[in-house]
Amino acid sequence: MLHFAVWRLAAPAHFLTQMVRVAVATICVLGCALASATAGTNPTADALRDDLGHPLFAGTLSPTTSAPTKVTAPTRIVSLLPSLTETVCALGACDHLVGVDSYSNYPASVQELPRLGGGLNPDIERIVKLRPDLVLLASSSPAVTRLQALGLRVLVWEPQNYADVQRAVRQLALVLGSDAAPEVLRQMESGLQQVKSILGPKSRALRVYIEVNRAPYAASESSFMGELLERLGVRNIVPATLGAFPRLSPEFVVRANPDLIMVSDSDPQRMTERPGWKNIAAVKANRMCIFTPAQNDILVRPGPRLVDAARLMADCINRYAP
Amino acid sequence: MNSMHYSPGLGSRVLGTLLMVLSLMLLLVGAMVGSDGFQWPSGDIWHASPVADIVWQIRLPRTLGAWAAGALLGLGGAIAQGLFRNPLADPYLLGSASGASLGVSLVLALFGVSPLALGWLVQLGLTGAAFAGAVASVMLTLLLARGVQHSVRLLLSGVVVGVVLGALSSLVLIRRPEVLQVMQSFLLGGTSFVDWSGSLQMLFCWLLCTALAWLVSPVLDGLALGEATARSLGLPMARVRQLLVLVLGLATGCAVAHTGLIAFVGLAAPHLVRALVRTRSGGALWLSGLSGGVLLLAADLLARGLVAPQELPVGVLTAILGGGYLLWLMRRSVGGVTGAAQ
Amino acid sequence: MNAAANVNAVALQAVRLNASLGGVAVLHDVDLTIYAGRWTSIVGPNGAGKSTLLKALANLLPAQGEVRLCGQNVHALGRRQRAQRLSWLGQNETVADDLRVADVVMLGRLPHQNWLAGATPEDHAVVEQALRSTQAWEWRDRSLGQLAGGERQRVLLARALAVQAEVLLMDEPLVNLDPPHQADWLALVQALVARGKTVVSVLHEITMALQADDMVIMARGRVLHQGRSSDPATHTALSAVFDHRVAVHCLQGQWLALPVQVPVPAHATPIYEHTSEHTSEHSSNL
Repeated sequence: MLHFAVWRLAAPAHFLTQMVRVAVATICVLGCALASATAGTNPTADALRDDLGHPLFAGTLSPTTSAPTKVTAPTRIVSLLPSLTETVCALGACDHLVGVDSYSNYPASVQELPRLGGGLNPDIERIVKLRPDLVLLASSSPAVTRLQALGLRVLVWEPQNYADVQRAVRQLALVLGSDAAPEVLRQMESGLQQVKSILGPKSRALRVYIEVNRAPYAASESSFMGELLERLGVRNIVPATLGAFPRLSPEFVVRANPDLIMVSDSDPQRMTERPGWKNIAAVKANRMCIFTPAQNDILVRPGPRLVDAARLMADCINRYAP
Repeated sequence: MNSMHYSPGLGSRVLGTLLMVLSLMLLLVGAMVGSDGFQWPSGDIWHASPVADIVWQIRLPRTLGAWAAGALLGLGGAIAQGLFRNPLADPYLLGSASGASLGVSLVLALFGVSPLALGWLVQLGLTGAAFAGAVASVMLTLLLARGVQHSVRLLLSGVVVGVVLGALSSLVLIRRPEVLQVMQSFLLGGTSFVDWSGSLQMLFCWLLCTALAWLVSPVLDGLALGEATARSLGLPMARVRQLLVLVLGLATGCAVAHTGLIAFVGLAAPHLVRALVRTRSGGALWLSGLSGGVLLLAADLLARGLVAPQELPVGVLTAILGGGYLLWLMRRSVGGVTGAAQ
Repeated sequence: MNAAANVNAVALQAVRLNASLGGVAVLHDVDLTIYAGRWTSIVGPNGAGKSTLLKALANLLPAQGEVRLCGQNVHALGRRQRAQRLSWLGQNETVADDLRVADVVMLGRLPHQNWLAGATPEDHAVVEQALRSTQAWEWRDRSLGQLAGGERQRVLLARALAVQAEVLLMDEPLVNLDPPHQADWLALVQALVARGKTVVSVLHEITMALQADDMVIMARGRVLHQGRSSDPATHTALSAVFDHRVAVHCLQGQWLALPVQVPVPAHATPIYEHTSEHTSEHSSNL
């Protein structure tokens, strides 16, 4: 969400443009801080509404029971969020996808599908031309109201943590008319357990620092990666009280002296060159995992591949704390 | 009759001394502001200890770096406002901000792509890329304007270069969106990883650029009388303007390379000086640098200390401080913002 | 240059001067001689190219042809030397409002100052003298922006005087000046000329221009006439260039230019003399 929020910041410098840019940045920083502070909370407890409160089955709810009376599974699905694309495919409806956003790249079959722009600025015209009967979007996308106004059926989810992923899987399965949900969830849970089991005992003592941006922005306990790390029984040096992706003082990291560093962002500058950082235990012993862009995709998408994400982190931990 | 009221001249020497004392005080405070907020230093800092490392390796260099970057931007703003005789001019006017952004985005984009590029790209680093981009864009502006005969043409070329390079930078970001995160941190500016060599480079650059600009400052004075009059006074307009443009590019490039794009310091610092004292351009150049340093350092200390251990982007605070100050200035003077007539 | 020794010495000379602004030719083959130790005024209708001519003489815009200062080609002179010998006061130059008056006039000393040296006591004396001669000394500490139009003009005039050049080129120096100060300016110029300086002024106040020693009459980028301002031929040319709407008269030994009144036809009655009957007749015609 952080990456999406500052989309238009690369503007030429000019007095007024500077003001606008700074204003946008302020709003984004504050907004993101606010949003990540409330991340993980389910906006509505109703199991039959999506993240923005849209009913999953509009107009087909029976007045006496909350169960839908008639369900026709969508056959032409457009997905504009990679984690939702992966969820759809995990639930076995991959063949019904007719279009995806430009970031969706897993599984390999979706790479053949028409690309409809980014999640923030999808190509409305092309979406409409595809005549989808279901459009899946991130809650924060500005295209939601536009597509709804054009008469399309739009449902939104934006999973930020494990609980969100589980809910999205269940709800999406309902919508798709798929019964694969319990199996998918079970595999996720057992996969996580299995990954945890391959960790050595020394991993418990590890303290990890996850960096997502060279500013430096860190992933705290309340972020998705932080949550996975916690499930693996490893400690994060950044507490949840600072928000999901706080912009830290580099001093904080030096003081906290992590044993292991995970970097989900390629940075031309080596960490040893940062002033004061060569004294950090992890830097001194070169205990740093730098994830490739493909691995990074897995780590930042709270979706069905979270077991793979956990495995990536576990491999990293095992490498340095057998 | 214009009823603008000026304070009865502090005198540039007094202001200069004041700013230097303030700078020293803020530098000391900078050693005490860190991830725990503000804390008095213990005796530990004088012998080898983790606290000492933090103070000497992290806090002091970035504090000095913040001051030096502010000084460079303040100088740049004074040169830009003098060259173009426009109170709204800032050091990024000749496209240097967009050039730096483009340089950084290109390096980041290529870095991910080609392992071959890795070697020299790492050498160049984001610092080198930003500097090269800033200076290259200023040269491009000079080229486009075909010399510095006409201020308006130079200004227009600067705007055009800024817009075009900014668009190219956006294009790179669209093609390689994973680069966006890093670009964001660059665009908002900050002193997080400024080390001793960086801050000393900036300090040296500031001294050099100010000395050069001060040497040719009579031309800036003459320009205040109007272009034709300045030429009739026998001032070497074209050569000196070229030199000043290059100095501007150098100063801005150096600041942007180490601390990213920080807004408002270059704009507000010369106004602050002009509102407090009346002095010729030579003195104004030095004083603008000093006040820019104080402004940025104060903003940086707040950025570090307000929500510790988190940090606010310093560009946000300079906008609040600098913009707020300009607003107050505007309300004080009846005739509007002080400065050269258009 | 000692004007007394050589009455016909030439201070400035233009030979086949051509200049264009923005691609449009403004000066066409201008030949001009400005004599030393005399005051020459340049007059002409709007768009005649007077300001352009003055700028070309001061070498402030590119021009084809030759301009000679005391016999030397003005291009051959160094920038600094040219600035020391030629002082130019422009029209409508935008000046920074926050400059101190004394500092503005001090800038006029730039051609004489060493690049890095500050102001010498001699510079300060010259500045004071210049400010006093334009009656602007009492507000030497004020900012330019605090002054009214006429006061500002006097400060800019003082700046041009501070150069102490042997040739002074002034474009519309009387703008915003009220009559007492116009008279002061006249006295100032006459004093300068008496000391041997050469003054060239573009003026649209024709009467003031007629007080000069010589007059140059321009129209549409060419010099139509050049001669003494007391010469009847000059007066005829002056009247002709303004379509005979101006006539030159002599009053108490001074020349005066007055607009030519178009005589009112004898049969027409002034409106205020209409009686009520005529009024009703006229109103019914409307």
